[in-house]
Amino acid sequence: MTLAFQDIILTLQQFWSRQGCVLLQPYDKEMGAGTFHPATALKCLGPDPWCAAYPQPCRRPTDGRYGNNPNRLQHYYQFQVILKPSPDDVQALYLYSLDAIGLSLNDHDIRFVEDDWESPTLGAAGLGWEVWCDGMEITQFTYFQQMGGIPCDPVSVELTYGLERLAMYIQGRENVYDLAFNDASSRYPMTYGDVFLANERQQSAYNFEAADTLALKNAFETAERECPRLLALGLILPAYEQAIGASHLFNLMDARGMIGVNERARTIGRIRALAKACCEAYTQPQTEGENA
Amino acid sequence: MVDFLLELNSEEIPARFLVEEIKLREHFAAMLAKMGLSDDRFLTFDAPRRIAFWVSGLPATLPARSEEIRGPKTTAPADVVAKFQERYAAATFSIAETPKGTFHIATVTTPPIPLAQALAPAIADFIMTYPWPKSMTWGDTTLRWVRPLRRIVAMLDDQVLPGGLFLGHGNHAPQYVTDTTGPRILPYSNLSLGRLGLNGAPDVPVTPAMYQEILKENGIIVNNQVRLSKMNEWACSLLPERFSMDPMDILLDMHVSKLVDYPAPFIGRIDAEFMHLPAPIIKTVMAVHQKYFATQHSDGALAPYFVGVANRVDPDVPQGIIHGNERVLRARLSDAAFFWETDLKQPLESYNDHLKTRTFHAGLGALGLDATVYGKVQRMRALAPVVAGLVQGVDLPKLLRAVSLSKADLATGMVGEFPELQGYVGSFYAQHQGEDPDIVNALATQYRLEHYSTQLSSRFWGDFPLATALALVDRLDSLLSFFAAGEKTTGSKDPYGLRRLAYGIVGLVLDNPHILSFDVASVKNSAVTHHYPEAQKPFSESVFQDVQAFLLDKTITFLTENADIPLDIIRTVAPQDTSQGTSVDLALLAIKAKALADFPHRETLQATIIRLKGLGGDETSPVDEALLNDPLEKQVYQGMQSLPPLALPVTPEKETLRLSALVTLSQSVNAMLDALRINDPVYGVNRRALVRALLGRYTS
Repeated sequence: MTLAFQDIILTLQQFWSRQGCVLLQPYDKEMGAGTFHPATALKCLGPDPWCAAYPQPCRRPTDGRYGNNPNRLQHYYQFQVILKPSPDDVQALYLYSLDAIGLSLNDHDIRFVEDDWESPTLGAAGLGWEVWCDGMEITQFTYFQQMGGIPCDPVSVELTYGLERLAMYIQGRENVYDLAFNDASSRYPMTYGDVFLANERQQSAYNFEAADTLALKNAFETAERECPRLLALGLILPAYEQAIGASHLFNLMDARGMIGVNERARTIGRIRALAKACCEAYTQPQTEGENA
Repeated sequence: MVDFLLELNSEEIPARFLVEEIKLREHFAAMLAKMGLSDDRFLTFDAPRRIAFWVSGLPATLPARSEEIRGPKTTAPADVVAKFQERYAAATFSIAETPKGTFHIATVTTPPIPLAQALAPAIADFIMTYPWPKSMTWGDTTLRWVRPLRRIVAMLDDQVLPGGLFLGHGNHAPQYVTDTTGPRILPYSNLSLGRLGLNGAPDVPVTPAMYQEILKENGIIVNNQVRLSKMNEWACSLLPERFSMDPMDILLDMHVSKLVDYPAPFIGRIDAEFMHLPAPIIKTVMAVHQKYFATQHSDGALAPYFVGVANRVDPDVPQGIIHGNERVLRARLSDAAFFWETDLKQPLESYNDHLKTRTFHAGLGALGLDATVYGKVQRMRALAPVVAGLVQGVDLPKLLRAVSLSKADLATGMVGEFPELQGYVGSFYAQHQGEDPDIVNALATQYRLEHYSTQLSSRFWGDFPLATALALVDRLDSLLSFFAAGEKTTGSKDPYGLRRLAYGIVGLVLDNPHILSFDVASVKNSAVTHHYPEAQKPFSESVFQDVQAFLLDKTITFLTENADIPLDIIRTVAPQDTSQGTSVDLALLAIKAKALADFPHRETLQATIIRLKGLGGDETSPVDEALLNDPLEKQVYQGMQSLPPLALPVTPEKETLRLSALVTLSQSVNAMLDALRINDPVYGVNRRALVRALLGRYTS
């Protein structure tokens, strides 16, 4: 029997829980990728070991298609694993996790294809691969080399599973909205569309049409002011939330067509400055005890 | 005699680094050379998770060696000399006189040493210093390698080399260690790693003698040639008879072979609903994004099959894998089809509006220029009439139309998704909206670069004057813009691809039957005087001069490396001084250099030129015929006057005729130079003027 969407999440959670990971829930703020979660972005810094796994809904406002495109969503799920220091057997562990969700090495062609990752917004970069399953990219596999402009020592490895894609492949669906979200033979069978189609339609309209541009701009500027103010008070984690907020507001402004080509790099630079300041404060020796 | 095997097992190495096998070889050869083993017959092997080196017949003991190290001059301060002697304390010292001075010499003698003892630390050094284009650290260690290094197999025959590599931690740098107990150490081993599975990669005991065979039994073909040929033969045998693989996919071939331990090709179908898309789009989607090979009908048309290569030993690729790959391709092609349909809803030129917000080079803004791609197109339009005058057979209105459409596709959805298709996409859309075929062709080929090793005779541009003109306008404007913005090439750094652009221009201009003259100085005069808008002259005098000097340099490289013309011949016909913005006609330079290189009596000519140059005066006055007093002088003068007049355009045939006439003239010139004193107190001024005039004729 193939796994329902939620069973893939449950199976991955169980798998990585058994590997000793701290099992976290999604962060309760909008973000463009699971990497922004403090459990990755901040915890990958500093010398202390860390391992965590969590699903994270991601918002990519410009990818919204009003629910009309079978592959593109403005809100989708990543499953994120972060291990520090990167263990020697992480590739084998990863293959095991694929096996657990029904992608066995015997029946599939799993490949590690060079893909170096960077996030200009976070000032982060890493080397690694995109993992292909039968030609389809299913996971980003990255050894972090820096975060917030700070070199990572020891190095964390980040695994980011694209859950909808994985599920579509495992369930053999061409349209994301046709995915079985829960057990299709249960009393209340639900598809991904049942759960999220209305959300995609309405959020796309919000992202592209309805969001108040002035309010976005003001909110962005507020976040940009709040972040350093909170840092000055030693409140690093709340400050970092402001940086995440600024990043999402930027993405919304982008979807509303408010960001010109020339402005783009500059604005990303402004957000990076916030993220960097948080990362730097986080690695300061005097505050390390508080964060641990 | 012993055989040496070194195998470095890591996680998946990027295929593009494995393709550059030559660098691996160089680094390994350097390691051997340091030990006095100059053996270039070693073999290299690779697979996605390993690189390996195999050398046969090495001496079990390295013989004693001595090396002379030159120290300070004998005149150096005593403490400097003392330091030198201290540093090579075990050496014997002597003094040697050289043309550059007298030096202290230390002769360092290395006693005979067992090979294993020399190799063990050298391997560690080899690993620590290997210059991967991009490297990383992992875990809590500090060694940099392309991807995490997991195992080092190092053997002389059946013996494992002593010691291992400490991977570094904190402030302790990576280094060779003899004691391999403890954490973060990879001891040298005889256990290779097999294919990665759920329990990791299994240990596989190997020996140098049986290395390839043992790994093959374990599902890894380490010989890339074997992988390649197996992949191709197999793929061909799977294809239905009427179809074949595109023979032009050699690079993709190489790349794909570096992505698999053991190639298992399979044939997938391209959905019929996508076959209406232009073949280059389908092929790019397949090759660049999915690493699939295209297949073709016997007439070369794209066939509805692709060849994928799975990484597995079992040649029976499960249907699930094939369907999965077909599915991915379907999703990719439906993206492409979506862009195709959406983009075509508007005329191509309408996309130009979007170019107004697309930066070409931000640095142009500070010069008061339009820094956007739109601005670039406007400058190209201004330059078009000049270039149309240089390329024979170009219709200016057509060129202007081609220029106006040339960058529009950058703003289309299709190029946004598939940037490598820029140019092609514009040409497809232009064709679709019924543009002139010459324009369609010019758009498709505007970025075409011929590697500068391409033989002149097989060059592409000769058949397509409009395409030549569009590419020339584009590249010339880019080069001028980048130079204006202060971009330079420094060492191997060339972020804006200035060298590529310059070679792109040289490749267009040289040996192109439609271009008989190309001189940046006259391009400048024409553009500045007539064509660039009065209020905004984009480029300063010095920018044109710098571009000219850069192009001249690349022309010379091109002629020596590509047309095998000796440098001294090019120097003979190249201008001596280009710093003052003198005219340099690159097309003419090439014609003359080639004519001279092929000319049977060229040594006579060169000898004459050398003699004349040795006497070269800086007289600027013309020769006064009345002051020629010697019959030898008069004969030379008359000979010079009766040379065939210089008529533009210069063709190879006319140039050969001119050279023959100069050879004839050389006899009287030599007679004159043998007999007469040029720097004569009375006639010197006039004779030097004659020499100068002659030099002008010989080197023009």
